[in-house]
Amino acid sequence: MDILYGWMMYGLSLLTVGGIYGIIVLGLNLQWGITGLFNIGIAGFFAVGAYSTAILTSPATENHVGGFELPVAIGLLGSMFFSGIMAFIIGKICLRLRGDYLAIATIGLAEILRLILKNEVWLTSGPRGIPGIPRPFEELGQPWAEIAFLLIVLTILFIIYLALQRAIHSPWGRVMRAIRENEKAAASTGKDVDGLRLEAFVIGSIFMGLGGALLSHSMKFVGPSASDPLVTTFLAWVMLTIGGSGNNKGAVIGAFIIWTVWSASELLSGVLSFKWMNQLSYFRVFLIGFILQIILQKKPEGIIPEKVYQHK
Amino acid sequence: MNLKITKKKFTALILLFLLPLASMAASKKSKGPTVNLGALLALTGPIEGMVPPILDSVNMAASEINKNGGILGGRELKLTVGDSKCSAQGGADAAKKLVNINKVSGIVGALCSGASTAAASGVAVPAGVPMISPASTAPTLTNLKDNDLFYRVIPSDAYQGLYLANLVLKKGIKKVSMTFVNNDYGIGLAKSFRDNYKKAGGTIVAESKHEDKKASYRSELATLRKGGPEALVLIAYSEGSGQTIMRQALENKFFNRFVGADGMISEKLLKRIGVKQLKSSFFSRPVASKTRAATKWEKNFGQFSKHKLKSIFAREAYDAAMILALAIQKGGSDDRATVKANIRAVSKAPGEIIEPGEWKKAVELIAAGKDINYNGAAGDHELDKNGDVPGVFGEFVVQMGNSFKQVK
Repeated sequence: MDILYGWMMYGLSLLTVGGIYGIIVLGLNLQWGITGLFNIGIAGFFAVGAYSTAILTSPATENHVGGFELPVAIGLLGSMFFSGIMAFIIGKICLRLRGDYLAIATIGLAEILRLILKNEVWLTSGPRGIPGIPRPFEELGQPWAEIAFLLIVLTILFIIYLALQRAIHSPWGRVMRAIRENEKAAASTGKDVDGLRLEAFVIGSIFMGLGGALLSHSMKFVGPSASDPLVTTFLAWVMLTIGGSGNNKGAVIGAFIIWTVWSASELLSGVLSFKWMNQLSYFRVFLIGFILQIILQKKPEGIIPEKVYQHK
Repeated sequence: MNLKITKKKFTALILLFLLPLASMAASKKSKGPTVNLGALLALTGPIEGMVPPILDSVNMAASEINKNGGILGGRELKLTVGDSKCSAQGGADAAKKLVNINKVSGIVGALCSGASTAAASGVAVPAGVPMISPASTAPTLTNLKDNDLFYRVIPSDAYQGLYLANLVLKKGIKKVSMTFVNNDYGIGLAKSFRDNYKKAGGTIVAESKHEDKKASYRSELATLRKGGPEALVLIAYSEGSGQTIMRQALENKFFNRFVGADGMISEKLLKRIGVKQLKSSFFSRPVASKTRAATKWEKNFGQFSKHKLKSIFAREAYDAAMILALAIQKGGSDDRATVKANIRAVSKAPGEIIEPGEWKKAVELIAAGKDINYNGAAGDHELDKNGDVPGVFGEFVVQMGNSFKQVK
């Protein structure tokens, strides 16, 4: 019974973090999968979201501004607001670029954003990070607190999923895909291509910021290592590619699968001898690359590929 | 051959992946009740080079215990290692597994302060699992809301800053410049030095924060030199910016006297810079190396591991594991609340002194109902009310033959 309880608790945390990545990957899917914006600066928006909510909701300290102790809901809205603003500014600057040039610009600006957050000690407490971020329903104790938090994450994920599903199947979504396939053709039919690209970029980045915020509530701590591009940008891209770019269902499933592989593969260390434990950690990173290779070779469109709808 | 991934193959792949998990769950049952401890180490990530000796050292503690009659009357102490990747996410995720799947009674770790904070506040504290970090020195961990579950056997940087500030003033140096590396180590230690030095009447004429691993720090050094400082307080790593700054300061005659902390003490540095130029410089470092307990540990570790004795944090990691094991033994149960309640009891004076390698003696003393006091390889570990150790620091100067000498 005790063992079962442990696995259940771990399952809850897998689903929680998987769901948070699901939100981030849905944002990326809107940007890349639907509209074709090559954004590899996820870490930047993630960091803005994570720090915004941390500053808004954490208790007072002498190390940085804040101590507002606002409710978590306000923190989440705040993080969406700030990452949206950032995305708007960055989008205005970068979105004139196309393809890989856009990718380089986003990674550059996102790194600048991350470095600012790391170095402005008065704002973010710098490399020490911000501890003591509240987690909603903490006072329920285990396991109910974890279940409640999981439900919050899944609800948000579900709402975003439904909204995006509706959006892509609306005329708006069709224009976005038209932009992805052929911008000039879309422009020639009188669509405001620049404006729409900016819309997709800002909305997608808001979800990335929201994901960062939820993750910092889940960890109750945020520091520069939390927005490391390996665990934000890289992982999110792998999730989308494997799940199926252009398909919301694929994006969410990819997030859950990859997070499970990433996290649960460590349990193998329980059966390995000490000598191999050190190696296992590298093996896990290798495993992700290996899965990516298989999927790219055998199913280049991902586990659930994009559906092409025939509109009559 | 058809290499298309069919549904069947996909299921097979997933099953293949789950197989070891199932076998692990099964093997656990057959071995009987092990007593579980976790070690949350940064196996991959920015400090991965430091970790192998630390892993060996924790493992040495477990193997000594198992060889000497086991824990709680002959049960096996099982150590599970988690990889925190030196990041907040990694720390929280690995701790989740240790706490829920491996059912650990206590955790040695984490190493990086960010990983420690996330693992403690996000996972271990809600679950009631005690943690003892052998390496996290960030002063912010002192006031973490940890429900008395987070401890460390390495002194906070705040204490070293205080020691260093007093040492500098004692030498009659009233005006210094300071530069520190931009990470949690540098910022924490610099803040503590700054506060204590100013409070005691010293003046910092210029200070700068620098990024590690740049090619040149000459412009920063030129600025730091203004205002007539008597020495440069250099808080950095000898393998990184520390060495470059020292060399460029000497080459350009910006400074010839340096004050360094533990990050600067390495013999490689002396080989590259030369002893002659550093005659008036001095350094501080947590010391414990002179005690009998430390000598014992060194001897054992030399036989157990191929890694060098100088490896930092290895002693602390051994001590952390020993304190957790002793707390389990004393409480007579691997229940988490019992472990928590006994951590201070086994590490604090008074009591019969237990040193590294004396597991058997400890078990006998506990069985006889005597109070014990663990004195570890890295110090006495008198945990204070915040779960910190005060730490003993020593003053080091350089000597011929490219080595450091402790003078106090």
